[in-house]
Amino acid sequence: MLTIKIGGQAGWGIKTFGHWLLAGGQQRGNFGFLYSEYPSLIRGGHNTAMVTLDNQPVAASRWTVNILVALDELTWQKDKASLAVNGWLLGWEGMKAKRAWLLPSLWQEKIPALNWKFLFFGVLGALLEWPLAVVIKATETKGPATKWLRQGYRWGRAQKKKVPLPLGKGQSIIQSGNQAIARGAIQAGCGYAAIYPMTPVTSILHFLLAEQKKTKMIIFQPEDEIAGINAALGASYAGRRAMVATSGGGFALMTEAFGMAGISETPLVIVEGQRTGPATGMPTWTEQGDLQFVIHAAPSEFPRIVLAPGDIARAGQLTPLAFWLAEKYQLPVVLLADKFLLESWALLPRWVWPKLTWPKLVIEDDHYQRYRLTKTGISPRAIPGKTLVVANSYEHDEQGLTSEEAQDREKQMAKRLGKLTSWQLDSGVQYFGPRRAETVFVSWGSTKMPLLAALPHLPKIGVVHFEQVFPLPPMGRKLLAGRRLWLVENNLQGQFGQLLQQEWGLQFAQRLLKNNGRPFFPEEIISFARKYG
Amino acid sequence: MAGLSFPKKLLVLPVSMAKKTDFLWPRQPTWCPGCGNFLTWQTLAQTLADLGLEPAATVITYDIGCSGNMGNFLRTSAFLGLHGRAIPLAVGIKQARLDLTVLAIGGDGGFLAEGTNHLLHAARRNDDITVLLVNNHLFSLTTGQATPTTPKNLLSKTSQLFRQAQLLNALALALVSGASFVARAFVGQSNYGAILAAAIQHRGFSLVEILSPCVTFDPVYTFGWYRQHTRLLAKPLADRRQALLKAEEQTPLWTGIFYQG
Repeated sequence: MLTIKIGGQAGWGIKTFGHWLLAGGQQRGNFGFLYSEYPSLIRGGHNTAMVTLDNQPVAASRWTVNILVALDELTWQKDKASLAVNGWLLGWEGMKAKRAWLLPSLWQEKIPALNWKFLFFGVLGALLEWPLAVVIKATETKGPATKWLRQGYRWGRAQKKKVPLPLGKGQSIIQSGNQAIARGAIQAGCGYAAIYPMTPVTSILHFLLAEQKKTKMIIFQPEDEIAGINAALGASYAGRRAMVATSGGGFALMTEAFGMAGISETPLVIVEGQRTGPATGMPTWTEQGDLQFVIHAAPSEFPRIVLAPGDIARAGQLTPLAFWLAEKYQLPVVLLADKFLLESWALLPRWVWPKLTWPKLVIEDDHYQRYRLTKTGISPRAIPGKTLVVANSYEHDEQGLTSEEAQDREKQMAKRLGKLTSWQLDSGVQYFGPRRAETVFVSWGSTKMPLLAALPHLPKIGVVHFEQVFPLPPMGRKLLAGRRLWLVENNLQGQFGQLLQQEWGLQFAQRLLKNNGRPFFPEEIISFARKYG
Repeated sequence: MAGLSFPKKLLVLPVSMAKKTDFLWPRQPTWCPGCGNFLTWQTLAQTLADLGLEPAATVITYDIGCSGNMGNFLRTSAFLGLHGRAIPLAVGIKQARLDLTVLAIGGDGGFLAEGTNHLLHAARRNDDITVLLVNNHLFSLTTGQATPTTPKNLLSKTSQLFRQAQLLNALALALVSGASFVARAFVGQSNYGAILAAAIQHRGFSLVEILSPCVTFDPVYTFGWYRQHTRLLAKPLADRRQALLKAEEQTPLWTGIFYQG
């Protein structure tokens, strides 16, 4: 396993460099994980990308770096702390490191900064002992820029110290959390997406647009999130599988219409990509701070489902399921993820999509009632056109017309809130580690990634990971019973712990919480476990 | 009807057999006796039938307010939405289903206070929906507070808060935002239905500002006042600029189709 961190100014192609490493690793049969950090600006500042490559799937990138690629002095100063004891610096002459490959400062003066990424990638490729063809193909570069790649590669070849990365046998795809969700939406037959740009979900919009010719999906960039969710509910009412994607701030604007999805029983998938809040917070950083907000969002009472995928593959697989649940139970389903999951990339094994049988619509019925009372609480659904359909944000009778009668209110409330009583997601909770572990980490969402990366180092400890966080899956209670519980959350108050305490009366022996905008790294989890284990 | 230029399509025989009564729920409206909304309700039902539309394939989204309550009396496919949000709701429905005829009905509160931005953006995108902005100058369902259209001489419960404020003109806003059909109608005028029909038939974004007296909280702008002060445009104006000038005139208060692009 090898972890490489590259740093430099925004606009220099730092994240691109990380992608090239993944692309090279993919050609070499490796697996990998790319996590990037960047401030909310377009030029300047300090961007980094951390790539871990290995010959087996990589759950999360490591904090400890084997090779630090510093395109500027600031990177060397800020990131040398993460360098392993025997780690190496790849930088410019003048940087004071014990173990380093230092490129001639003449090149630093002569070659424009925008081309440094080619130069350094050429060097790194040679140091990893990748063939030049792999290096060039990884960058998908043609024309003059290959000159810099070749120049770097020649220089790297001439170095005595090399860090060869062995050839692997992996067949992988390159995927980010956002891309996995976009593909999942396409897989589900989503026909409508309204997305106002917001970090960290913006690239879902880009992915969906890139595929639009094939999918014919209607993609709407609305004037604001309020328009977005209302339009998506309109599209859903009219018969298209619909989604919105936003972050906590955008979802805050959507909450009134979120309630309308509840009372009007209109299916909708909401991707909520958490970032460091509240308000504008730290826009390009991660957090799991919105859980209690999402499960309580909007006034009064209505059913909702909140799914929190733990890694990129599960984000992909849970997305069609979210659409299916929304349609089956006619309610809003939130896919609650975060910047760490959505904007990280990985070389992953291909995954299988869930097989789903979609509910049927009523085609034509002259006496159709949208909110007909049934045993399950689920009314047959129709769309306007041949059948007259009245949806209503007011409390209503079975027809859909506004009603303030006590009886209608009681019946419709019981119907809506009864829809989920018999339901639980089969895969709502997952267990990892030794079956009889006395101590388990309790996690939800993206903390699964660093936990699974740490687990091989902690032979006596298990992980109970919730990907269905609301309503809580009863299976989770069984898995937690009788064990010592360590709560892990990327927030300050342990919001999921609060929920478990409230619902199941659980207590936690220890809590590992972090709210500085950074995700957990496996190293932190290992040292925590050694301290308290 | 004199002077109104009709789209030719209207002359095509109706394809649907739906009658006016098919567009009415058998419910007694809850508006105050004499409310302008009764006329909109009846006229719209007649117009939809005249246009040969099917109740099931006509979708109306409703805002919140007295005009929004029409969703319980006018029988079509409908989505009774949130305050200020009937327009994006309608936009999503039309984007999803080009085969549906889509209207949004709301008041000066919903379309010029809570959700003004949606009006401007739907106009600039030329979304193919018909927005019926029922202007009664007041938040009447909350018992008569000032809206952005409340004239200075109409003393509402909160007018004192807006002494320095300018009024918003729905037509002017729509025109500068690029709306391709802009009209104004008084509920009591004889060609009200014809104006609604032209708006619904128009392909692209259409706005009709409907002057609708509030008989309970507005003693100034009554049916009588409107009869005296409104005047019908002979035909749509040649361009946006001229339409804008006419839209801003107060004496007389012009009605009819101001602009059709």
